[in-house]
Amino acid sequence: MSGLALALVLLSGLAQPDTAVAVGRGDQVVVQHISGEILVRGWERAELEVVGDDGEAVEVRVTRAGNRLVIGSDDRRGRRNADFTLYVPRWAPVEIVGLELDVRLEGLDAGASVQNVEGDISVRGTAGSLAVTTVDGEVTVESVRGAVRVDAQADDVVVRDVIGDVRVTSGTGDIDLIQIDGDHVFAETIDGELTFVGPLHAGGTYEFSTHSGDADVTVPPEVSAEVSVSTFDGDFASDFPVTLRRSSTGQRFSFTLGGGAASLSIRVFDGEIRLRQGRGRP
Amino acid sequence: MPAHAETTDVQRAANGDHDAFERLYRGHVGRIYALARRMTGEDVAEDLTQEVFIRAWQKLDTFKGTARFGTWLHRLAVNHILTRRQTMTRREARRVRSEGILDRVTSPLRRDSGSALDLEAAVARLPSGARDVFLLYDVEGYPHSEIAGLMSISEGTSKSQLHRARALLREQLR
Amino acid sequence: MSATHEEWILQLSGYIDGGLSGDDRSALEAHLAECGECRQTLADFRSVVARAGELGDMLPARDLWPGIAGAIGAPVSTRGAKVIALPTVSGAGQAPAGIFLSRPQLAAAAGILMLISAVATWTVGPGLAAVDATDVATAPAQESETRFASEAAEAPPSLAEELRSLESALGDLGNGLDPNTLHIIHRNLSVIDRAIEDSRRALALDPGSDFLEEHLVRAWERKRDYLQSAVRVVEWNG
Repeated sequence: MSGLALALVLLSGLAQPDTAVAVGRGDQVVVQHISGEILVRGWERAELEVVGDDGEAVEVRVTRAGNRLVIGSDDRRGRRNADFTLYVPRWAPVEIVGLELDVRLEGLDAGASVQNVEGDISVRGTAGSLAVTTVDGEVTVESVRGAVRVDAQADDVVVRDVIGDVRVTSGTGDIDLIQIDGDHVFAETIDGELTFVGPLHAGGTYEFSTHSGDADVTVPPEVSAEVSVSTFDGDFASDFPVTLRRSSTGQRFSFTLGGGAASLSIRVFDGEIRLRQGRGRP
Repeated sequence: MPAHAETTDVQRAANGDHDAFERLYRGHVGRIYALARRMTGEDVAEDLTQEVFIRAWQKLDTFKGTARFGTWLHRLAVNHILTRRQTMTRREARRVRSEGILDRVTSPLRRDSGSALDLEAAVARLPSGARDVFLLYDVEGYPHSEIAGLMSISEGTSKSQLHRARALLREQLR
Repeated sequence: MSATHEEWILQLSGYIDGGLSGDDRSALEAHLAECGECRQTLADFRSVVARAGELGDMLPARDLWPGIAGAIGAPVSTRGAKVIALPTVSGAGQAPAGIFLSRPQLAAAAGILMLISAVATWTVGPGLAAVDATDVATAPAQESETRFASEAAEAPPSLAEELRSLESALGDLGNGLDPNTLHIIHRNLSVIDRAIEDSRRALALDPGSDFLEEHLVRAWERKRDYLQSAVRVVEWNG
């Protein structure tokens, strides 16, 4: 089948015999050039299926090219609107490229990537690496095991209950990182507020930066970290008793918590920095 | 701008003439910005105003010329502002809720009349539904039937919101 | 008449607008003839309606046309741009020791500078950095449809070429993009440009600050990252 595209038409909601397509180990599921609302949900079966909302018929094209199963047009000019639920094997990696797409991903175990321009993106209960890039729309990531990378340009990002490294950037949105358990965490926004709640691991690096906005970092009481705090125009408040060491130019302060095993850096140009003590292991 | 000159500019802009569209923008930005600012607050009014004119540029070919351009543009603006307000992000909505009202009340407006400032502040304090209807009916002159369609409410609701707005303004301005 | 006072009041708006039926109008007028409080309320309502006309047009604090022009592919002209002289900056503030760091005086100075820098940026349009008087006086009419010009020359040397190349790529590709998406990209670039300006001004206040130096470089890097991301988005969808 190499080099030969297999085109199928899935008519969901109609009494068509072929509403499912077999998916093999090593296949990647790709959704592209579709606008609308899409829910992608992992299941145990080795096939993918498209189900329209409220029993409405959904016609989408599925094309196989090598190990890529492409849902949607393979041509940008063939871009179309559709709302549907896509069931895929849990073990299949998923890639979504959209223009105006509201996307929800649930129960995927082999990682996913979403590249979108406008629309909200929500990911819940996945494993494996997750990468999200969007221009305009909220991004919510919950209950993920694996590295998370989000590049949002104009909206808020909420990442919650993640075991893995996290890297989030936003242009003009707030970033909330809640219950993040990773060795390397990075968050940066230009015009927005930053919140982090999570443990700091020995040898780990935790870097938070906002140009205009407050940074609020909550760590366990038994934390061990070298902390660097920098601000041009803002206040710093700490729940921890600390002895500040000031850098030569006065805008960067550092101090050690516990044995200083992790590295924590908080940088704010115009805003407050708050270092809070959580209740035990957050 | 004389009506015939505006009609010419609309035709030119529809054919891709950016200069003509800039003249239309200059002629109407004050009314559109005022509407956006009163309906949503200072934080987002500039963005919304830009979006309205960008949409107008995209939709110029649908302007039939049976109404005045300003009327067409204003309806487009009301529709866009109401739609965008529904889909505003949490952050924008939070700003409008928590700070926008205060901004509208306290920030200087580009007007000279002290009484108008009082009225602006009083209008800004109105609940959004009552404020929208007051702005559209008493300020902009839309009939209740059209407001009902624009806001997806009944005519009766539009009338009762107008009464509520006037009653609240009466209290504030006494 | 069984209507309560509140019920009469509820009819006043409709009465002003001519929305009452003949019978209702007659009944209300009869009530008004004998109820001074309702007459006063009616007068107040009429005053509110009359004053609605005071709510005239308002102009935005900055010219919005450059942002619109950028989004619809119109040439962005610098004509009419106001040139604002930036005050000379000298001296650096000292941070107080202690756990609360607050630098009100420096903040005040920086605030003024930030405001000025923002105004200067916006007068020439989102995505464009401030221009100086010479630039304005001699700038030729712009021909390209969508420009993402910046002061790339002022970026750290390691980034300048990359920034120029990305801006050029985005300018070439962006013409096919939805105007609203383009508007968002312009808007975000202007936010980053303002951050760069803030950092630059702060560094002028406190030239020895390694934090501010790093912050400025990081702001430029952020712009590069953003442009890379925007170009990718445009390439997927253009």
